Amino acid sequence: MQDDSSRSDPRKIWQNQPSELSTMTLEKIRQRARELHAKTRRELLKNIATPLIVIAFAGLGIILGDNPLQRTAFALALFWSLTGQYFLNRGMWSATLPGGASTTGLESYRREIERRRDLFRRALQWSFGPVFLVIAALILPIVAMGIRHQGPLRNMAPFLTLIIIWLAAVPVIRMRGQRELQREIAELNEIEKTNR
Amino acid sequence: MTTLDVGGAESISTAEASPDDRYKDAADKFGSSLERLARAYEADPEKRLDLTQEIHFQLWRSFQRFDDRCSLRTWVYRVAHHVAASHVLRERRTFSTLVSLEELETLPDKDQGQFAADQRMILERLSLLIQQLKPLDRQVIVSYLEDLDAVSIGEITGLSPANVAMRIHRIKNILARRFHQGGSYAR
Repeated sequence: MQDDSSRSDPRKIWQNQPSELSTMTLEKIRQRARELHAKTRRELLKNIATPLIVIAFAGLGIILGDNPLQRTAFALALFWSLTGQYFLNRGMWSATLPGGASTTGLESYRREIERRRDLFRRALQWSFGPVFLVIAALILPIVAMGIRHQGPLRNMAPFLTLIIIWLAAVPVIRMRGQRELQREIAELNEIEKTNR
Repeated sequence: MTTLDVGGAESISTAEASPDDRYKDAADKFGSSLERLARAYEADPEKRLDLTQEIHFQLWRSFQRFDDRCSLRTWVYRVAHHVAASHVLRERRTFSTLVSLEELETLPDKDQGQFAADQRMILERLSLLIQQLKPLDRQVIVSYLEDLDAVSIGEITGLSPANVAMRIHRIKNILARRFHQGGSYAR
């Protein structure tokens, strides 16, 4: 019979916790490997969806637009988006096991945070940037036209306001996330310093 | 419990063991610990099952590169914690809700006064407490709860012995204050 102290000892309770029965077989693991492969393909498709939309809009804008400034902006967004694909996907698919098993928890955690911070930064620069430019190239002439003829601008005001809020909110939220990751890295630096 | 269906698996000599054999050996020995580890990182039962399977999958993959430079136990725990920490980073949109051991020590206990007589309740409170922690501190507390010594915890986490000792001291304080009214386990 267990004594009182062992019955309330968190270590004993932790180690004797009831298990949630599930059997992992090698076949299940291989199935998991196939799922991972499919997931990678889905991620890749998801990642190219935004640039494809940007490219389609920018392409249409270049063909149909009559304002040289607007067409230049579309061309720039198109180039930006295409270049961004290289920078966004560079090295992204080589990361298999998070951190690698030969690294310690501290190293692996730091690498994972740095990877996420870089991904955040690259996504903002190379994915959101062209989107921002295409939207700006699309709505600025509308706003300019609206200023001349008050009516259409008033009708479009709610839509334009929403777009402007979204354009302003995305970088703010992304940068806040980036700052949090940076703070976490600083904390890990501090731990490493005390480790020496 | 997540077990591996291998039927009479024995300890495998690492020299001639294939990655599959090594994985079977590790899953046999540490299957229950891995399941408990997943509990420390994920509260939702469905997601936890998924995380446990992901840990097993990554462990199986990792044995392609196992080079005997550390013990099997250290290797298994490192892989498991890496996968679980990545899971936390993926699932959490913000860090601001996670705390360090130092902060947890100063936080008031919400359940203060309610004596957790039931072991299930203690386990639930313990899991909730761990799930509040930042990944690195979770690695230390889970390893401590699994009865690993300071040297092994240092090997897994990469923290120095002094750093591990300091964190274990904090963990003992927190556990003593929150779970054990006047008992003797927190030595």
